[in-house]
Amino acid sequence: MLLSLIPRELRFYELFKRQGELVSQTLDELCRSLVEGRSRHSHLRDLEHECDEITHDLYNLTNLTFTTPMDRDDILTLAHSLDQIVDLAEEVSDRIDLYDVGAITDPAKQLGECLAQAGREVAKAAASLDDFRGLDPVLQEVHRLENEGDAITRRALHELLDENHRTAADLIKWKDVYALLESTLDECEEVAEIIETIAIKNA
Amino acid sequence: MRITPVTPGRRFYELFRTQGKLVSETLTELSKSLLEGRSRHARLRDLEHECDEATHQIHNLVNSAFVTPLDEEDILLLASSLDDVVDLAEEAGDKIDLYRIQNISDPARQMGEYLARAGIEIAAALDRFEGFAELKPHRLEIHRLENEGDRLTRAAIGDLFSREKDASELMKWKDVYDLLEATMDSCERAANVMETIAIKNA
Repeated sequence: MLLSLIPRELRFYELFKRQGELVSQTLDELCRSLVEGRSRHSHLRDLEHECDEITHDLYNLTNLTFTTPMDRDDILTLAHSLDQIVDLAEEVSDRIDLYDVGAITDPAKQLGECLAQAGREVAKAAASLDDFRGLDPVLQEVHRLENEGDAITRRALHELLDENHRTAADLIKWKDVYALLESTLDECEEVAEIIETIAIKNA
Repeated sequence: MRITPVTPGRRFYELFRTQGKLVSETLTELSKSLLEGRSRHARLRDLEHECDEATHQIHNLVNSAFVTPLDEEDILLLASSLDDVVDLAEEAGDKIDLYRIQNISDPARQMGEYLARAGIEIAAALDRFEGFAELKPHRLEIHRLENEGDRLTRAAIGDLFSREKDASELMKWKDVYDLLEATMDSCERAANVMETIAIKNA
């Protein structure tokens, strides 16, 4: 009820802030499940559904609003990309369950930590769309984490192919999991780039 | 014979209609090749070339038209997302040939049928794209098919890893399932692009 009294412009910022928080929560959950080595997939699926709803709210609000606070295209692209992070994180956890991969490798745990940190930065960036204050260091940190993640994945693949005791099935499974973890981190960087573009256009 | 002047605006919708038909035909071909267990890859490659040609014409038209009926960016995005569907379907057909897969599994056949149905929905949505009024049921059906497809490939991959011990069989089938899933995802992406265009132009 109260929400209807809030000007539309503010609702856009509210929804993006909420989406950013969901990204952070999701990546935190994923990280914990990797570090602890047990599934949190049902919880991740709930977060994914929640994020779907916010994404749809943003789409509908864009549809209903005559003058949006940012370019329509930018709003839709950003909402989609934030949603994509959550989708990918959920997929990682789903695949780990489905593949029954056994013990989580160290690089996968490290990638989990990178993702959790990137999630916190994404949440900060998504909360700063009204004035873009303090955005620069936040975006730089996302880029740094993505680079770190790349290096970890590279080492992980190297180790994976070096280990003689791995079966073919293990190789395929882990290669897939690493690729998904990397895509999730790449999508965080994509969000950082979209927000940077929006900041430049609205400066 | 009466000659109706085709305005550039009309021409865009006509080309999208062509692309939609090609998407549907391609997915139907892929589905048939999965059902019959024999290659139709030559035909798929021809369709892929035809779709490339249509995509190219859309690009040219955007460049030469002074006024476009939709945002230039949106036109190009829709054209390339439709082209992606055809490219991925052709790749799936190509891999089945290349890997010399003889016995097509039940989930792959079923996935082929879902893809053929998604193709029909895409073609129907693009047939009456102008005005965007009748988009929703098609979009919902494509989302539904994508969900069904997800469940299907997920179970198939789980089953594959628990049953198949031969490394090359594992690799081949994992790749084929991934490609079929990616093809379905690209159908959903095309539907999402159509939705975005509809929202912006409502």
